Amino acid sequence: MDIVPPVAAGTAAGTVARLLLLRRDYRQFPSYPQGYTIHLSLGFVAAALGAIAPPAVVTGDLAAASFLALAATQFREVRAVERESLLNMETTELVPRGAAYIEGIARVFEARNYLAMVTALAASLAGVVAAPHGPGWSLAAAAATGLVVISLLQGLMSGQRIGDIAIVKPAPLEFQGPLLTVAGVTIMNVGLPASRSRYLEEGLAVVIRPKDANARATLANLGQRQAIAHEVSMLLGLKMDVDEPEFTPIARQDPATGDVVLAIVPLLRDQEALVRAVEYVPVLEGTVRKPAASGLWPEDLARLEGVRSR
Amino acid sequence: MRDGQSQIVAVVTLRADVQAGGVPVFPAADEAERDKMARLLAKLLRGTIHDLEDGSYVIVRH
Repeated sequence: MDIVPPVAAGTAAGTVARLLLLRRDYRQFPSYPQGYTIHLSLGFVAAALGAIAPPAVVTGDLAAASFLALAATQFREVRAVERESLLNMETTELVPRGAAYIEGIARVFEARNYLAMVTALAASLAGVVAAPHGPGWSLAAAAATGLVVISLLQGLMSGQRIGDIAIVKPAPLEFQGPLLTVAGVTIMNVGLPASRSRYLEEGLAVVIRPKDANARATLANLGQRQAIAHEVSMLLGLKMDVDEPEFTPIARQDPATGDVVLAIVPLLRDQEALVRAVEYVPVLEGTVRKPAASGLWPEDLARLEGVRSR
Repeated sequence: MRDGQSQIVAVVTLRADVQAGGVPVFPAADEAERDKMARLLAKLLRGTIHDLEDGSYVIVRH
């Protein structure tokens, strides 16, 4: 049997899958030539391993197929490397990403290698099945399967965003004495009158209102809130430097209603842009909580009815 | 705020009865002097200025 068409098509499909997932990464982890090279190379290796497995099984070489297990160990290493490099850069960020966000990004990078491998495996398998009809058919079947798997993955792997679990609205920013307050929730104590007037003149604020009790629990996670602060600062810019920590954006939650408020002094002072930026922040996989799914919560409380009387 | 502990690094106050106790206390004559001193100290120490509303500012490193 000619194993070249399935392996070639499988490897190509897997590498393309990795490339497409890398593109969508842009905001999460601004990539650079080196980052691209690293992840494309690893994606290629993953794809090649996946593509080799079906022909290996068909030709009776089971030892080659067992190399897949070895690959899994390798890709766990990818996660550790990503985590480490992001943690090392954490002290250089004005608004840190936070441990939860970093963990989420690292996890995504590991998972994407497996996706490249699975795509290659599926494509190669189709090629092997079609191989008796000739190399042309084998190649076509592998390529077609690869495309189908890639398009499926694109849809399946896009996670939730804050806009899916909460309603984001602009809110006025005010001071109660020295306390910076948004929608009745105290964020922090800003001592200097000059800083207060900068907040009032140049600041913006939003209220992030969870849609249900599950969303409230997710937004209660400090890592999720830090991710919101980090992403929003990155997208809108931040009018501060290291020696002005009072302008660090902080997201605080109202314990009674679950509303999360965020005040920021952005470079791009655009209320609409701020709302869209918050809505676009990914919901971190590690912070998702679903207490209402346990059945302990009565319907109305799970839908957060009655907690927003004020 | 961030992980780790917040620490008071300095106090700038209008009150004459505040004694230094483990933290440097900077007395100020009036509000303008207090604000200026607090801003300069906060820049130096990379701290945040918080108002205790009793005439004192504390500079805290978070």
